Amino acid sequence: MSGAVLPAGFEALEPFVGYWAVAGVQQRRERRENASMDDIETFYNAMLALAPQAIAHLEGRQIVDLEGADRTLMELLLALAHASMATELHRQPRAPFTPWPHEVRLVEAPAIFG
Amino acid sequence: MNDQVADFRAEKTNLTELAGLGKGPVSLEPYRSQEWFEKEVEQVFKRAWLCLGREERIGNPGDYFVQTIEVAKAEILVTRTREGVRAFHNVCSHRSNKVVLDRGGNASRFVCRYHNWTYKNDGALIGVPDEKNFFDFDKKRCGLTKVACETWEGWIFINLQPVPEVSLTEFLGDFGQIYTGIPYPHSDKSILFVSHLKANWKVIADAFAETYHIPAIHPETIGSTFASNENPFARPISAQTWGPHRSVSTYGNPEYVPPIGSQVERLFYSNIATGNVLSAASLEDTEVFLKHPAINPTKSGSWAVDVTWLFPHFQFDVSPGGFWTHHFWPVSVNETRWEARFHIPDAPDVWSRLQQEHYIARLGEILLEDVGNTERTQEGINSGAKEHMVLQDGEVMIRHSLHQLEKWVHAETVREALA
Ligand code: FES
Ligand SMILES: [Fe+2]
Repeated sequence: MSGAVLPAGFEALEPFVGYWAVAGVQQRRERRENASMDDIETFYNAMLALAPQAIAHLEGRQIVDLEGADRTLMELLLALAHASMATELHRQPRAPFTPWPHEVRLVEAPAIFG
Repeated sequence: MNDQVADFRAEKTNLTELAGLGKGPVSLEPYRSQEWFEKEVEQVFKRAWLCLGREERIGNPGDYFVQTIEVAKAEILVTRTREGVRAFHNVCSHRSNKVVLDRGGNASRFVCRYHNWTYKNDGALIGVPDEKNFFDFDKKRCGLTKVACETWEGWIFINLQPVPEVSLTEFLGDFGQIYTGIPYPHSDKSILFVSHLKANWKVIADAFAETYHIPAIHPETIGSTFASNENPFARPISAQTWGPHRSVSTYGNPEYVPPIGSQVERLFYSNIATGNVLSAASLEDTEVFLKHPAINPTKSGSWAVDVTWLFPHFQFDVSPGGFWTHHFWPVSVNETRWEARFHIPDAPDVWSRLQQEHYIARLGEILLEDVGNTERTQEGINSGAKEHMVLQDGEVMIRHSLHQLEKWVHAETVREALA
């Protein structure tokens, strides 16, 4: 495997890796909660456009074994779930009328990509 | 048992009346009075059987976890021995140091770090350095202090009375007879949300005990899942009470599909034909749920979730897609440690894991909508502006909870409280 940040064909997503490709559900959740709506929308649009190809790229594999660029791509896909909370449900970064900051935390996560 | 079925389409439902409860305004003192809180601790939390969760959490011999119970100033060590689940005070028999310092794991023996006294996981003291230098010493009498512990249908309960006045079976009563043989899928796997909240434990428990709030608090996250034109205010389908315990069966919109705008949700679920988007259960488990007389008791085609509230502070929720639990652990009159545990399967491939991430992401939003409201409510209660709250029929579990707490607070014996 080369030293590329993302698999070939997904170069357009490289600007998002630093902020959105993080390990752990709670971290992904916090990234979305801390981002501006502009940043969330920019990531959401770019990621959604390539999501079907990204899923196809990772399909049929045990994701627990993913490494390097493939692992990063999976993390970006997972972050899309969180970005969609803002863009598709709340139409703002966080749920309306909820406190911020808050201490409602996921302290035990799934074994895989948790 | 009271089995109350309501027609949510009627002008009004009558669950409260069928449960034999009053309809008047309800005092807020139990939510803010220090004196009342102390009575709850002594009369309720130190006398009732308290559910600690599923026994699969300690599925193998040697598995253990430590449960803090702030109001009893207690730390309970729960272990899986070859004979079954056991519970002890996490206190050394020598000079009362804490024996286990972590929150859980697997160990065949526990060593107190102060002077190396060693215990088996059945509580027996098996090692004492320089034992000969003690006086009339009998190791057999120096095991860990036992805490009454029983399991029922895979749920672990403890009782802080040195000798419980009633057995777990008697405490559960008819409820315990009816809720048998229910599958709890993926009970050995879970995710856990926790928050320390500045609100009375009942404020938090109440927030998960009624569906009246759903269209207002959860308009985008689950509003259209739990309400519809047919049932715009998300009224419950039925309610049941058994002694101090209670349950409501809640309405789900059978027509729900992810809206056009929910492109990510639609994409992530596009590999499966049937879209139970909140599903963590297999089709076989869902079948057993659907057939079980206690689950969705009216066999409604519009069933979403059964919310079952075991006295005093524990709820478990069963839906076609799986189950989850809530613990509302009081810390002080206006502080609570709330724990919500959702049982979900491993997701080994890209499709199932993306669905799971979407499920958890949305859960986080729903739960924040629920408990994010509770500290404000507590401040309102503490202001003293109101003496009472007014409850509607769909809030019947809150009324039943307060009614039962009052009984326990005033009853001299547990049997009297249960009568
Ligand atoms: S206090 Fe535990 S060995 Fe001394
Ligand atoms: Fe809610």
